[in-house]
Amino acid sequence: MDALRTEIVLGFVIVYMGTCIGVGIWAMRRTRSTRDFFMAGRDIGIIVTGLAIFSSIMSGFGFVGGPGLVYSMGIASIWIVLTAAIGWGVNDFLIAKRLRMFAGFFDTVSLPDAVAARYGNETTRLLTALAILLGVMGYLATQILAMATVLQNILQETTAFAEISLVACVMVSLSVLLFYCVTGGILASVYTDVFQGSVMIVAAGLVFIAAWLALPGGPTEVMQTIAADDPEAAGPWGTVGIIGCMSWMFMFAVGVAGQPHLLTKSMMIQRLRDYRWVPALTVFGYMMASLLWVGIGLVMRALVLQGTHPELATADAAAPEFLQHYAHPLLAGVVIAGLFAAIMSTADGFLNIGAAAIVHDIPIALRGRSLEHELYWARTGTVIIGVAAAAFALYSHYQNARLVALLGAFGWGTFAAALVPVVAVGFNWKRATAFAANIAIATSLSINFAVEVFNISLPHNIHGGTLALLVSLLLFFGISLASPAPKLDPAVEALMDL
Amino acid sequence: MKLPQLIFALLMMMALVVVGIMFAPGADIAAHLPHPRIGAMFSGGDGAARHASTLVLGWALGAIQLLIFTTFMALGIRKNASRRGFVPTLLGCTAMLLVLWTAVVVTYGNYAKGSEDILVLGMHASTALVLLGFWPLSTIFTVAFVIGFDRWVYTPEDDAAFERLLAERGRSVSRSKDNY
Repeated sequence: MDALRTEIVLGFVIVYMGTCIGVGIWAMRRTRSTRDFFMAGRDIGIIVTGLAIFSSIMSGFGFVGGPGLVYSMGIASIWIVLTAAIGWGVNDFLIAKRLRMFAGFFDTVSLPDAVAARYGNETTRLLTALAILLGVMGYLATQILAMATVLQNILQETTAFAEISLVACVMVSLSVLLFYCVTGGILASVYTDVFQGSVMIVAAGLVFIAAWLALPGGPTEVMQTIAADDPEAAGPWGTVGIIGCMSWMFMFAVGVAGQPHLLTKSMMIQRLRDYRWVPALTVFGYMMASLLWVGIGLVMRALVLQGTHPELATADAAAPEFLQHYAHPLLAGVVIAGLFAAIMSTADGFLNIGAAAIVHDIPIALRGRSLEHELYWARTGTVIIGVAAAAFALYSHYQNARLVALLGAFGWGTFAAALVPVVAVGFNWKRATAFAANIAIATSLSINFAVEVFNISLPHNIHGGTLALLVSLLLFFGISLASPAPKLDPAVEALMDL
Repeated sequence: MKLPQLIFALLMMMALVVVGIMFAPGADIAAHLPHPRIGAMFSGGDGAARHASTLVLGWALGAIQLLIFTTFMALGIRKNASRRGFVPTLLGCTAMLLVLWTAVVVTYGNYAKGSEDILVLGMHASTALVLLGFWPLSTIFTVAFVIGFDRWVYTPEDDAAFERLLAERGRSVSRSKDNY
């Protein structure tokens, strides 16, 4: 069976992409309005919501970048996945209920819609939409590039497509992504998320078992090998140190409550009382996928240190090399499909909220009303954002490799610093003012951009995104406390009293 | 003290700790080093030396964050918190995480100084506490959310009140359409 490894993997990828296209066609018949396109008619159930939220957050980074971080830095990046579980708790207690109530009451179709309803301020809507758009472009470009690179690696193993270019792979993978996003909008996105999330959970569980079986002594041998080479790498903060890990903890735990693709999907559940079970599914999925992140990274580090496996060219090669050499071809097929699932489930969410920003939120903020024939423009906007992100990804790949990496790194921190104060706190605190929200967003964007563009390294590995989040929260609370209490719309006040 | 003021105070404390960290000595040896033999891999170097000035500050940073997470969660549901057992549950969960966090830092401090260590599955105690204790326990808030949802987060009374608000809104929208 090993001789057919490439064909088996390719077969899984084709079946996976075919399923996504099928879901797109199915969802197209059910998408009749902008509300359907951006909010799935606010008609989705517990399992779909839970898996959609989990698979949106676990991007290709979790399947490739995560094991790479563990390979290069030891235990350190566990603080990203570990604290995300706390982050789900923060998100669920703090904002999930409130956002769903605002969405239902004000019939919103996007997160900036809900923000505008809460603050009664169009500048806040505009700044929220711009923050989303900036983060989306970076995130989406990295996802598209990752998707095309994986596809190119698979196809180049075949005789028929040995010379296939990256541009062709971008076109193929983007076409599948755009097809189901344009035809079925968020409805196709959430239902493909169910399929994608299930594939990821199965793949991660199986790979975790395979990883520990790769060394005869199992986890004990892995940890002893790493500790014997470098005790710090096997220590609780890996090679990064306690401050770097605590810096990640703040950004990734609190930052969950500021991720717009997650927040938007939590606004779609049909009955608010059903939300009770959603976090259980989300956290279960995320914990399972995290096993792959940690398992592959540690095992590959131990194998290379022992000299059992040759040195890797880059840390991100940890997962592909493991699948190539230590996983059964069928398992490799499932995991590669899982990798595509992780990338596309995140990308489709970004396409949708990015399209909402340009065809709905920004026009309303600037001219007081949305575009005519909004559903048509929503589909057109989805294509425009997808093509622009792909062009940006390719330009960056061939001309300036730092661009995509820069905006990709900027994504999570941008969303966290800009949206946690305004959304997560502001929807629970009547005293929060629109002015404080606008200052918090503008400041967070400035700090994040300055740190990334000027490549500023903070002492003791403090992350720039953490600093931006801390400053924006301080400004938000400080300005609001120093200002007179705002006069709220009675409906907003009633919703915030519940 | 009201909850938003308490959160603001905790954020200010965190900012002070961050400033303290920025000016702490040893920033030049805090970053990891390239692995001596293998490219694309890092090495941590001397843990005791690089944490000499930051271990206590790092503990404070982690502990304050745990309190911030807790107060954020309380902010989301403060209406029902006092009367339905939410506060003791939340404080209990946070206390468990704080104790575990302190144990991680203390055992790491001993490990970095080269003291004999208990091994669990090949991991020394501080790593085992993180991977087998802190990580699973971090889901405790989600468990609390699921168990206490209809008492703390969204009660049947909340549901009825929300339905009333929706109905009133529906009536007012249809009235305005009739007038139009």
